[in-house]
Amino acid sequence: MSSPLIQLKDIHKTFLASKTLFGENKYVHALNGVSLEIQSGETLSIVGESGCGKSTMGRILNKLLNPDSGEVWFENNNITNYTPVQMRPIRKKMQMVFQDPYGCLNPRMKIKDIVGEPLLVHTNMSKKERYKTVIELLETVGLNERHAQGYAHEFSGGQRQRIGIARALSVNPRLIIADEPVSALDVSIQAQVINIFKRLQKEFNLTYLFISHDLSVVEVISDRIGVMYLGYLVEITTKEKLYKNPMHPYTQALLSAVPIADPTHRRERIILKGDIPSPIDMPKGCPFSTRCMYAKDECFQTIPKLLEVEPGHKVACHLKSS
Amino acid sequence: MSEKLLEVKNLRTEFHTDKGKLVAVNDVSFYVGKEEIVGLVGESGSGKSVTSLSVLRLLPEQGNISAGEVLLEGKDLLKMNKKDIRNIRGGDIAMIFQDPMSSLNPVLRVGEQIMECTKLHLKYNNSQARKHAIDMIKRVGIPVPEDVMNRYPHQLSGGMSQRIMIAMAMSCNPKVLIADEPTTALDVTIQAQVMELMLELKEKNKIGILLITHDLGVVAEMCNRVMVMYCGRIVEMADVFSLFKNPLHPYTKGLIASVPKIGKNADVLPYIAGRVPDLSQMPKGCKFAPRCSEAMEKCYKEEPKLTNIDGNRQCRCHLIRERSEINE
Repeated sequence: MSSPLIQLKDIHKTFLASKTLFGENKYVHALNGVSLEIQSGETLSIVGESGCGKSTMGRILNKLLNPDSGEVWFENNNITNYTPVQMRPIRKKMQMVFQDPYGCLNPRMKIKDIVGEPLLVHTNMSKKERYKTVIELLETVGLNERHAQGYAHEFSGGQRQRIGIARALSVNPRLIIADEPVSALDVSIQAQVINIFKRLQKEFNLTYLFISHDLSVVEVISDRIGVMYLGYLVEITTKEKLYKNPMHPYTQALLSAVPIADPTHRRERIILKGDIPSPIDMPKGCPFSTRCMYAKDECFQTIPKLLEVEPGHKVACHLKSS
Repeated sequence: MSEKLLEVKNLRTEFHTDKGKLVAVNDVSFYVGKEEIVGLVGESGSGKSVTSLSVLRLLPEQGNISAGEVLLEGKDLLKMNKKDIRNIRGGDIAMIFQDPMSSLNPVLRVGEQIMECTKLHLKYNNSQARKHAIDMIKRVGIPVPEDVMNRYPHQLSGGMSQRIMIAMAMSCNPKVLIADEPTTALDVTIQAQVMELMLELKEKNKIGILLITHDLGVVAEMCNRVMVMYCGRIVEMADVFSLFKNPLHPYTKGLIASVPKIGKNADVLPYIAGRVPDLSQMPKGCKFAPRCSEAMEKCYKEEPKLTNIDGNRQCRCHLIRERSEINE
């Protein structure tokens, strides 16, 4: 197998939650020893509920945040300690698409300038060349030259998300980190945007890290899926295996909780008790032990490691490792 | 047919803006029966929230209900004076909003907010109200209700706040509950908890629920009947099984097809081309015609009427009329 495009090695990240004058400061444990790799050309999706650390992970991947410990490798280089200046040529190869299509476009800039800005920063194209490229990019995402002169407020949510994708594509990136790119869109528009993501991947040989909370969207786009809970990666495997044979009790509950648009389909649903524990006061043992219906003594004591239980199927659960 | 608790007849809501008069809800009629969940689905801008706000006359200043009736057990809410409608709000008809965080008052303890309802509507004294509030919090599945009573909204998680909202809405024994996207802001595992709770309350208290959502999965799992809205109009109404098995309106078909389904593993998702038209630039004729793959010449000229089909469902489409005429 070829070497992975990007790799995370045992990443830990905490944020300061509150400072106390005496005694210990309190920290939010956002990521607790996450390791994963993404192969060139594949789509890895990360799913999990709010507060599980999935967005933090996306931000550490392209070094918008620095990890407390652990390493980030990109194209066989350790970029963990790169300075912002060193990062600039790397960022050209990894672009982001954000969740909120309203917040991520500058309202004072014309669309042609928004899409052309990465070209201005990363290349030395002339103004004319840039404009030509921008039009080509807009056409790839289903917009046209007429739209180039508009401002962001003139566009609908779906169109804005296309503009965001066009901007990310402008510098020919290898990796696109998409953080909840379709969750703010209506279903009929969501389907349009997902199809664009899929088409572009084939056309430009892109690698995606797709962060989402929606398991039904993720199935359409992914090759592999990782499930996160409270800053831990609890299960990671191919899409087929995850949906057919989810091993972690949390993944099972998550899958059964997704409402299915078919009234004849009634099934036994696993209703989890309680809420996600606070990432400030983490449970001592397995992060899921407080809500897990199979939890035994061991689960409350020690944190399970992410182990390969089947080829290509890793789970962090005491029940599966013993 | 079940008893009609809430009936809306030919509702028309307009907004006065700089762009002129915009019709957000046009000729909408429906009813909610006892022990029934009626779903109202549509994309953003289809007028589903305005419909629900019109029922309780909670529209912003620019909004104006220009025609129609809203009947609660035969009494017209639109003809009531301000005092009477205030007694209905939170009393006979309760409402849950999408964002539980911003619908709770941040400077009041949760308990006080629940107690406020029963003190106002049921004239409870302090100790009665407190006892009732604790009881309600327990019923929505929150452990240690006495402790939660003394907390402020920011100390609760999203799922907890939504439960508190439900407890508050249910505390005066409403006959009808209007839930506007009650689970949209919640995570799936928490959504499952809240859906379960609402189904349970429906059975126990025999209430009628108007559930407004954009999520067809939620509709399929919870509703008895469904209305699909597009551009301020109801385009299709049917019981939940017929709607998903045999959608008639091209918009409903497109909507159902574009939902990704787990296990189906589709390579390309079907979608509806184009976008919802702006309220100020409504197309002539059928409002869906510009996006419809089956549109005929007639669709661009003449708006179809909502037609009864098989007695128990309705659809607003020229194609359906043509077909049924051929059958005749």
